[in-house]
Amino acid sequence: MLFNSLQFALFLPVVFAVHWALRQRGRTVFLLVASYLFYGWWDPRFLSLLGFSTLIDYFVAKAIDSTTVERRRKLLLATSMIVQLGILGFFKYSGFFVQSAVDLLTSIGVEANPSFLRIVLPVGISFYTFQTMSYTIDVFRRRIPASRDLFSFALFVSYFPQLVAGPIERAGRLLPQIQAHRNFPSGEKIASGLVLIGLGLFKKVAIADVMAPIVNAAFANPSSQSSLALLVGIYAFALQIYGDFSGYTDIARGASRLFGIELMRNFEQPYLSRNITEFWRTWHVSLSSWLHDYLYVPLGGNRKGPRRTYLNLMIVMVLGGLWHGAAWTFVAWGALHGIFLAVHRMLGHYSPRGFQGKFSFRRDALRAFLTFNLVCIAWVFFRAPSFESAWDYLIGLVVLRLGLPPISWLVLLVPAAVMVFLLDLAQRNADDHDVILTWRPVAQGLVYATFLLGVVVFSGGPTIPFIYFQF
Amino acid sequence: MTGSGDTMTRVGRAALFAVLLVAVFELTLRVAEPRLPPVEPWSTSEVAAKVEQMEELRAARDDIDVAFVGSSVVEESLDPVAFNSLGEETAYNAGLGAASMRSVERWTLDVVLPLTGARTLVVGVTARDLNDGGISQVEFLDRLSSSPGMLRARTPQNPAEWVENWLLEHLAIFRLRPLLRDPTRLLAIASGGEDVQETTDPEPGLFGSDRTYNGEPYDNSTQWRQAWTARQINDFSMGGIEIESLRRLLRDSTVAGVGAIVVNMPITDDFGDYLPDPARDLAEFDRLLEEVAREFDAIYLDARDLFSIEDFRDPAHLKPDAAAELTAMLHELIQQTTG
Repeated sequence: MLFNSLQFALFLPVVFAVHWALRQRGRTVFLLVASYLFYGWWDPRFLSLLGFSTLIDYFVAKAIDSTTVERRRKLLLATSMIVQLGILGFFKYSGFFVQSAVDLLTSIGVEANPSFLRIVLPVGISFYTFQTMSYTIDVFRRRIPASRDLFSFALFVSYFPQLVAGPIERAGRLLPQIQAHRNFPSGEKIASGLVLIGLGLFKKVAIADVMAPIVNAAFANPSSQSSLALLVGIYAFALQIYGDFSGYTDIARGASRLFGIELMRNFEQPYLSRNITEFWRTWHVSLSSWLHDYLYVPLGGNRKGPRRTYLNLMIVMVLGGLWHGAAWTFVAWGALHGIFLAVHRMLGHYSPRGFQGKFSFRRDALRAFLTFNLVCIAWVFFRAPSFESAWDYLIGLVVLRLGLPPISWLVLLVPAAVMVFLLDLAQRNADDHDVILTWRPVAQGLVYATFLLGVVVFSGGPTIPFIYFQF
Repeated sequence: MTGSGDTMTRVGRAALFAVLLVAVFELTLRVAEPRLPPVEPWSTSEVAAKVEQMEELRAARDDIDVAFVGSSVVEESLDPVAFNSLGEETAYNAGLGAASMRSVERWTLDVVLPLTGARTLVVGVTARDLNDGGISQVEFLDRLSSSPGMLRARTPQNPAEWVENWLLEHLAIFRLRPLLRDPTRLLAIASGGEDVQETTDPEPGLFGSDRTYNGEPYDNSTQWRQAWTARQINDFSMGGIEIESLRRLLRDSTVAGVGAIVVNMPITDDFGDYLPDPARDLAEFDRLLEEVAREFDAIYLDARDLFSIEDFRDPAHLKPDAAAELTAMLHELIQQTTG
């Protein structure tokens, strides 16, 4: 079930009403059933996979928690990792690795003709696998106790607002909220949840989906486009993926707030970042922090000297790229970001304090613009269907090809960019995702009317699924 | 910091103001609607032309006995003119280029059968039409099913569709959406210029294919192959949503008293080579198609290997003479079965 569908518009109020009509225990079980219904709406065959992942980590984590024998704990953790990564590897990467091996053999003159299994990628598998893995690792590290309540744990894995595209929540944050007695949210909470849902829908339907045709046209045949059209195309993709993914997160957070559960912020106005390190602290925060905690730090982080730090950054970013999709273009995207991060560190501009508060035009505009363009160069590899196509795109950008993009592209791109910029600026400078609620009624009303009209006018066309569903 | 009560008061006032703004916008659109160019009801000019033809036939009370439905393979490889010349029964070709079974299902049940009143349905199918992983097929379905004409024609399948139909009928904001989201048209209208809506494909000829055959050689060029494998075959898989659509189409047409003939359409060996495992995939396709036809007591005609490569203009579409020949076979089959 898509967030931007009428089915969801009917599903959410029904689940909200029934949920709050029940007692605490019933609420958890009901939300679990609703979550499975939400997931099964897409393809019920994969509910068993979700259930299997849940049961494995529930019982393994309990076993880890109940023993102090270190060897046994490690063995149990390894079992969980092998099963979860095995499932992910089978469904997501088997075709990719077989094809890569075939290509390699062919390139050295060896004929190979393996029979491929046709595997459908279950929606959200990368998200819920990482979520449940982090739980088992945290239990192993004794950061949290193992859950003794199967229903609560199953809901932690399958909670419908964030099941298919995150945020990838940590058990230490989400499980206690699921298990706690939740009171009916205040009017302010409900209002802020609804505004977040409206903002998310607007970003998805009126920003991301509007950019999609421009992006498709620009990437369909880059060698036939002018340099300016390619530039507009890549800016449009930057807006599309941001509107799509952060819009999804906003809807997820807003919907979850209606059930008294607060999900983490996954985006902190990333396109206002003043350097690439700041970008990665503000873009898909739940994944980058996951990779930091469960990959970068165990690899040694920055504790083993500069060279090892650069290597670790490259490993983390390449694997982060591969997490997004089973294709070498994603690996290249990750590697490019790894290089950017390493160079930024090498230049000595790295700041461990994270992003530095308010955005000032005079101080930050140029740096933010340069960072945004670096990110856009990398987006070419993320979006292009092949290396050849990505290369054509970059060549077209660099080798000046005269010509103007269609006027309709600019008419759509410029207002979308301005709206995203103003919304992000307001959120950043107030350090508050709910900043709209603090505005005067007239300003708020204008924003709500824009959301509503934007969603109504730009919906009803071909359904464009959320980009991150494929990951 | 403001208190919760203050926030709620502000949000309440803002919400009222927003509703007022939207209402003003709706009223403005209603006033302007008669002076605005009409919203195109159908996704392509091919679909629009076919609907117009069927409406004309209905208005003229010309009974159509047989409707051909399917993708471009049906559009090209079955010839209603040849069919009509063979006897008193009449046929209409409602095949749509780029459609797959999911589009064919809704198109047939919501548009073709109500407009033509056909008593026999010929469903032409290839493995491409049952492919759950095709890109072109999904894009075509999206455009068709979200077009205003299709939304109005459909019988709501769930509460969400019922609500959407209601909104389309009663609110100008919903009715005029296609116009409002097209900046080029809006700019042209605002500047008092000519309406610049683009058409995306040529109009089909009445009762027949929209492509004229001028004796071109068999086309299995690299360009054709690339387009076919990348967009039509893509991540090929059968047995899911597309075959389910065929099932529903046969079930619902049977319930409506319409007899069905399922045709395994002619293709060349080149077509099979585009599939990941040609022998296995085609065998699986034959099995699925025959099984579904049998399940709903539909007549099954296996025409896949009836023609040689000289009869084809490309791996999936017959030349006109061969199309007339296949149509004659169908005519004979219909005569035999309906007496």
